[in-house]
Amino acid sequence: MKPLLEARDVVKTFPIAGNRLFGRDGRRTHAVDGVSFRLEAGETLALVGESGCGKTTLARTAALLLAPDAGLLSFEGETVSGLGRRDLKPLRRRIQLIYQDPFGSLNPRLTAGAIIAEPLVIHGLGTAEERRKRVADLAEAVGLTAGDMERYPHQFSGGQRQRIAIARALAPEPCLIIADEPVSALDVSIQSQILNLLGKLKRERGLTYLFISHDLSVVRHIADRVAVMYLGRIVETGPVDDIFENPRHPYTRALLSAAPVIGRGKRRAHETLQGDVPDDAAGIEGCPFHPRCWITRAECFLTRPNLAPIVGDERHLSACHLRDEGRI
Amino acid sequence: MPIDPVLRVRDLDVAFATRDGAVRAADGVSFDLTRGKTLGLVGESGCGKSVTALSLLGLVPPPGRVRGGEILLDGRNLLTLPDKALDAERGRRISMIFQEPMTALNPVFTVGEQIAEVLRVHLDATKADAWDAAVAMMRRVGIANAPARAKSYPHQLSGGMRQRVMIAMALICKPDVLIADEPTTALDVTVQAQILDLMLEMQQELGTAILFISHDLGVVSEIADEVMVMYAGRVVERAPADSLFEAPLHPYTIGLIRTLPRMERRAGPLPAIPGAVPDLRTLPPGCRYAERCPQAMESCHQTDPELKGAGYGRSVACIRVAP
Repeated sequence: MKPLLEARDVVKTFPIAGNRLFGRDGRRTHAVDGVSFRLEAGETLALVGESGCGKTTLARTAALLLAPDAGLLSFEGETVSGLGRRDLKPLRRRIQLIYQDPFGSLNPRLTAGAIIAEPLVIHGLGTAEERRKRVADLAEAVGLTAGDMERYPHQFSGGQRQRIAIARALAPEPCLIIADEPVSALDVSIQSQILNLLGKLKRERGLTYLFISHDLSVVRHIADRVAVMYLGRIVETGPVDDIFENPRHPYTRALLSAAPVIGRGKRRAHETLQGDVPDDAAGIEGCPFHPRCWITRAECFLTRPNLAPIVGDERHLSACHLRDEGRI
Repeated sequence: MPIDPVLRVRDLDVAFATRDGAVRAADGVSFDLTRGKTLGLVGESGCGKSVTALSLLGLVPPPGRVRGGEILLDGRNLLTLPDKALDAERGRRISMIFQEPMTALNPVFTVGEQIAEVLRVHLDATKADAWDAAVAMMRRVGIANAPARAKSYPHQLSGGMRQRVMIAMALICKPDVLIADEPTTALDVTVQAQILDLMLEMQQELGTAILFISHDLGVVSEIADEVMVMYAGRVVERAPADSLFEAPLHPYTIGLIRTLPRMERRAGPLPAIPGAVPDLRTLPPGCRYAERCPQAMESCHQTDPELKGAGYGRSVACIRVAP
């Protein structure tokens, strides 16, 4: 079966400000640096990693909002990288985004009803009457009332605003939802309401999710598969239970052991990863993770490891020279 | 032997003046901070945890006002101290670190100057001595190449480095009390782990009492000796950390712990807490959690529960658990 979305060696760079006061000096940072993944219809793939790892850039590229500098992106079997604005518009209807901040992502001057109807208007879907009906159905599906549709964003709590954003994303009947940290700004008790809602909508509508999160507990809960990113590359990917129970990349191991766990008791000296993430992998020879890694050997300083399956599991890939050794 | 607390807070009452009358953001909050120990304060937005922290330093922003209660530092009530005397304590005996070090640091001074300034103000150190002490402190909090980094401006440092600078600044006078308001919330998880390790290490070395405020139960579980849970301006439960997370008593605490997705295992739908936090302007007459509580009885909607002892150093504000 063809995947719903496939990326092959996707690269996205941005210019960086140089030392000159004005203008740039031509250097570019590799936000996404040769990433390949497949997203099957009906699954939830979680992209995890720390700030600056490129997960948001990759998500925006997958959402067809950023054109990749190199590599191939295909959607429902058709190549979509390189398409122009006009050809992209009908595809964009099929891929919708939910953002982290439900305060910044809703137009404060529109009512909730108008916000949810906006994608329908933009894509010319339905008559005014049909749109009204659809907005009412969507409001109900995300747990809002008909009366709520007359109110403005500032009159809602954070959780309710995120419900509006979800209804808006669902309006043009997308098959793929890209959610960038959709529950990170919400309180704990509201976070679980929204996670449950996303789960219910997925089951009811057969949606596919690309879910970006830094919160490993949330990822464990919602994902079928996980891709861990570091410095613009996927360093490990596989089924969610394999990643959490048998990580095969030291960075994944470090992320898992750094995440706080309730009821484990007060911290003892953990395997805490030292240092900060470098700005760019460009200056690093060999494996981009080696400056922070605790199990390096000679080849880690010399050659960059490929993302390849571990022994005995085709679905579980790691970009570590020591992927099949017990030391990770 | 009874442990003598460094800081005692009794019946703290903080209210904000609004058009609809006074809104009580912190309502009868009492707790003790002990040398070398960490009290975790958890709750969701608007529960009063940050306002409680700010009031300890006399920093509640208007139209907020501390209307009553006592904040006793070695028996002296900070709330009745003249401003000048309070200034002498702030930053020296009680200090604070915030969530976003970028906004807490001054962008036009180097971080070394900012750390040194604390010593010059409080301990009358000379410029050269203060600078040397600042660099030594930066080294102490794990900043590599401290003499050079001291000459950096805040924007030139990473988020984790900036938080280390804040910690250096907060601890340079060896305060008795450190208030940390979501100090790791803006940080990545591996950097968060480094900062938590650093805070524990510094606490062991200096014997500082820490009030650690966070919405993240996992973080609090890893750093606190005792935990206090706030809901809608009230403390609803207080207990030693182990027993709170193992066997929570208040239905809100139980709900919070259950509703969290867990990293160790995968479950079905999360047991959500229905509804939302009540509006502090229109609080119900009875228990503030009754509306959302699965165990609420008739009387819960009428009787406002008090925080009562429940044995083993625990207390809870629920008439079902501690009538």
